[in-house]
Amino acid sequence: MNRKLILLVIILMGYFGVFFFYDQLSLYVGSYRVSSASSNIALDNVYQPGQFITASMYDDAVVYVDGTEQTILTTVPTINSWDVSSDILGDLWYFLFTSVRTPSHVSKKIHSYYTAHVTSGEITISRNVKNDSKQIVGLRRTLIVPFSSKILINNYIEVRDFPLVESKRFIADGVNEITISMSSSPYIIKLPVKKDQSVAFFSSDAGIVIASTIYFEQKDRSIFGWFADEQTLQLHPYEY
Amino acid sequence: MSKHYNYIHMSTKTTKRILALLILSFTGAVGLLIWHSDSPYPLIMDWDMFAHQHVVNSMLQGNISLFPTQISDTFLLNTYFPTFAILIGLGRYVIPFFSLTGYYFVLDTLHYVVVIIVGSLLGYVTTKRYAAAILSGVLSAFVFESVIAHTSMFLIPQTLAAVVVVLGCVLWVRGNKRLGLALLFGTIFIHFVIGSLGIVCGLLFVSSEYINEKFSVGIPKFLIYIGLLGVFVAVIFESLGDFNPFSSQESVALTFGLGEKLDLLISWYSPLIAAYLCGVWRVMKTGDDNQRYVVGISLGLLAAVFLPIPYSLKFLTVTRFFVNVTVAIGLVWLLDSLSRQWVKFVAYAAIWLIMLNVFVHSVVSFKSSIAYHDIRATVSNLEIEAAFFIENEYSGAYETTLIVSDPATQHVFEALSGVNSQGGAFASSETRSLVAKLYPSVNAEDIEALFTINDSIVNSEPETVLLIVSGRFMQWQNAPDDKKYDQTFSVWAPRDLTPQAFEYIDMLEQTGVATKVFTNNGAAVFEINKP
Repeated sequence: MNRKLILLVIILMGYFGVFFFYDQLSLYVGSYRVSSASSNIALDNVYQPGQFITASMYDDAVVYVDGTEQTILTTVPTINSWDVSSDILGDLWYFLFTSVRTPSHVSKKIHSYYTAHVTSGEITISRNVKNDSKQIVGLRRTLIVPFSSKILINNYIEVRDFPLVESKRFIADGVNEITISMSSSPYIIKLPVKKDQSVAFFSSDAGIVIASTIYFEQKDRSIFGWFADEQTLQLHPYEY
Repeated sequence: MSKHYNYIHMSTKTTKRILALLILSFTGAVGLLIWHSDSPYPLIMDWDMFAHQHVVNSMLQGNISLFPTQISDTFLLNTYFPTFAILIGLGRYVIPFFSLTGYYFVLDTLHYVVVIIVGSLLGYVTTKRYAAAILSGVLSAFVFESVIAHTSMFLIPQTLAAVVVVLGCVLWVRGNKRLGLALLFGTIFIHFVIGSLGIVCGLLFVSSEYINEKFSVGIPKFLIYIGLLGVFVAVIFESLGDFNPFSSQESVALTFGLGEKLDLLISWYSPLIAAYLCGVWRVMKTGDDNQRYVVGISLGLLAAVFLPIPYSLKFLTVTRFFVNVTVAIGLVWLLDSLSRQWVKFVAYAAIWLIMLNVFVHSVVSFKSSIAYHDIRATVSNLEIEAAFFIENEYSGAYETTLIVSDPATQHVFEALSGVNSQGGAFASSETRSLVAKLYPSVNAEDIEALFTINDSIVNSEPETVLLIVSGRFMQWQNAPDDKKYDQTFSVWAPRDLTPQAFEYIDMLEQTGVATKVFTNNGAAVFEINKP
């Protein structure tokens, strides 16, 4: 028996085995479990399991230079095979950097992957997109929150009575901050918004959709062609 | 020349010993750092300790018996004498300067250190190789059975008994036979099942020595084959279906199939577990009697783990030490094939890093059930504060005061405050039904019905009920009905009060029969006096 070969196989299996044997881990912040699924980043309220806040590739869209939009995922995507190797020591990585990520996808020439990074009291969702042949200039990003959420704009206007179809939406300008609270969570979520962004609120089957379009500058593009949009959700204890 | 050789030999041995100590100390420190990184002192992650504290509290009230079920109604089965509760109760008097949870925190930490020491000692006395001792110690530190066994991280009767059994084996192999046997046979006083394994090991050692002396037949030669046969028989039994003599929901939930058990073993050990087969092979071919004992026992105990009975994974508390040594023997045999020192060093480092990664995964998986904001614990500072209030105001009235809440809140508050509850986390269906009726709407009649709750140990109706509305209480009340009556379901992690909870607290106050005596963001305590 070749002992060296057996040892090599065992060690390699030890590193690559995580991909085959382990479930993906979740992060926790405030009252939320932050996890990555195949195509979204989800925040699950552990106080009321089943209440999700979601950033999904099926709901987000890139904006091209000609003004057209294309949904990031429309069909079941191809998963980039590089992800297998990126799981080496994935648990250690997770522990040290407290972040989770979706697999990398390619769908109709749009490459995408999302990450969520957790720090004390904050969740930063990073949406990474690129297209090799068309120039991306912006991203229509959405966040879906439960129907039971109470949503305040600039801390005083309560958004209520959402129209049931997407074509009828409530659009607000001059928004600085959106506050989302749920009666079964001891935390409120504050979503800072840049002043020049219009924010649309509408209903979908999954919940209330909060949508806004952000525009990239070319300096935001990495050397590999990726644009990354970072959206920070701040968690604050409810003040009684 | 001979003197010079002896000096070099001793010096090398000392260097290896120091190196082993340094590596194991570093490994243990890294393990503790990861384990406590999000679980700061004095918050604990232990759940069973609360139940043992119930026994301590009840014994302090004069309820003395040989069996825990007759001391506290938290216990539904007698699987050990109350020795463990007596030991931790007495220990509290020896180390009085920690808070109760801080005391448990220290005990669990010390236990982890002892597990590493005992694991590496078994590796050393079996092989006389420091490399095997180090690997066995590293495996003891980084293998964490996140389901049922919980060997390395929690000091509970089964894990204490396992450490004593292994220590008994170490002493026997080292030649301290009387003390070794005393420990092996004495473990039955700590835990019946693990103690029985200790007795089996003790009888094996004694009988094999006797047979060897009388008939010159070396039993260890056959042990590995007997162990392999045992594993084969266990697998055959497993294919015939489960055997569950208990009727509890917990025992059903904790019965695993062979596939699930193998899956868990791989997730706790990583694919490095394959080196176990190399270890068995190596010892079969060239091992001495001590190694045959250890490998044979590991196979026999693995057979017990594979049996299709509930809680069989608990056998891992002992099994893991022998499996670790066998894996270490296999790895050392493979590593010895590397001739260049730097390649060997890289290979050892790679194995250490794999096990570290596995440890992080096991720890994080386990802690996901006790996530509370940015920390992982089974109790929060807010709950400790509320329990401290109850202890100060009500602990003198053990017979006449009863804590009532969801099972998890009862479990934690009974332990920390010293005030009794019915069943703690194992409340009866009647108690659960009465508590469930209090939500979402509440009236005076439902509240007064709480006085019909009867603790089987105290066996008298309470004069005062302390109704605790905690974040856990709210989550339990919002759970589906089947969960509320499921003894395997608890809100393990602390929870804070939510806006919905504060609305409910206002509603309770308006009934006029419940007086709010304490509140913070974790819990509100209501005093209700018998009408």
